[in-house]
Amino acid sequence: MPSNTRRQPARVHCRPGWFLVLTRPVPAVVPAALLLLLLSAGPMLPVGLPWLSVSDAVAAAAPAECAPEIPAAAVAAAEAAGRELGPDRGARIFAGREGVSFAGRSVAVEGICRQVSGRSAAMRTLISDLGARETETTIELELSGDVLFAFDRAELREEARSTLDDIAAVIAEQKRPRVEITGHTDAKGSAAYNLDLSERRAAAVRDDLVGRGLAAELFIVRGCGETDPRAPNTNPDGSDNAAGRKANRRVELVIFK
Amino acid sequence: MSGTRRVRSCFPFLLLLMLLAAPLYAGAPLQTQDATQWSDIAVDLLSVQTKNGVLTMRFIYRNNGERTLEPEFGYGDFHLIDEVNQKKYFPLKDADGIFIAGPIHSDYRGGTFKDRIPSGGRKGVWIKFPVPADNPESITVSVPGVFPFEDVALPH
Repeated sequence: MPSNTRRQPARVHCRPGWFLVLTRPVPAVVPAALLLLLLSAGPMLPVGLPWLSVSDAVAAAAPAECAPEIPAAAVAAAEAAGRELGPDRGARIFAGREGVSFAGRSVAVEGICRQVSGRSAAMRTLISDLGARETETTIELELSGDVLFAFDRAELREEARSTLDDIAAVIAEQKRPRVEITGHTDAKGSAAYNLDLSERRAAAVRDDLVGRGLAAELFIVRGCGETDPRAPNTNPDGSDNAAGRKANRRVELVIFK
Repeated sequence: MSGTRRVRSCFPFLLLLMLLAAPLYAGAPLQTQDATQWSDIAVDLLSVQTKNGVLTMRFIYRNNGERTLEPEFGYGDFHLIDEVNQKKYFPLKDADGIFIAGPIHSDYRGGTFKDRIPSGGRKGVWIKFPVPADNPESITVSVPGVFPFEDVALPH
């Protein structure tokens, strides 16, 4: 074998000015070593290059169905919503000792040191007194129709005012509230009449809360008539179930926090 | 050319290759947390971007288990917590009161996520918040059913 055909060691010459010239075939071990070096050094570079953005890299690495794409309309809607929030950006202060005034009363908000998502003791008591069920995102309560209204009427009783005072305070305490009010009746009378009565009762509750200074836009009002009973309106023998009908006459409120 | 000199002269070349490889690492999650609500689900916080007063977060829900899972949560349960300034921020809503997030399965409670993730599968989730008012360096991101993402740096 002639000496000039023997395999020569690879030579990599780097000239000034970042130019690279390979003068011999490079053994496989060299690119492998370079790849290893890149794999170890890559995480030290926290940002991508201008011509390949983060989202491009993610989209390339992830299957198409899981790359979270954001519609352009959402971007515009978010910017509009952000502008409406004002300088506090919709923040809720979760600790502090300043008084917070709502619905004509002033309640001292106690500092919450251990639980960031907690609320003031006064508000917890109020919600408890209303018999409301609180979840992470909602406060749900049910008001007896007989407490709020006289039989077959859609005008609020005077006795209901203090309860609605408390409800207004709970709503006002939420940073970005939305309230669904749903009226229900028993099955006495025609279905159409009951549907109308349930709507008027729900609207009466809404109107009273708006009259206390809450924005009308916060409320969604609807009536279900007799279609969603809590209890049977009649006993198994067909006789009238007064207790069941009483339970069915109600107004439900869901306050979204 | 001596061995030392040869290595030194190749350094710019290696540096260039490292820079070219950087985008491959840009897709790595900022942080990953396990779910508290669903076993075998892990959630990657993929990116945090701010633009025009809006903070956008992208997540990937990964099913690391052997069976199909169907996580469900409300977008209203996402929060940002600025612990330094003691403020809590909520997702932005559109004019219809629906959270600006996706994908949205139903409008219930302002928008919910519900989707089947097969074993080994991934689903992307995005959500938009207002940029916190006091320009905090970092925030805690509270995600429903998942351990909190703490000390998430905010781009300024």
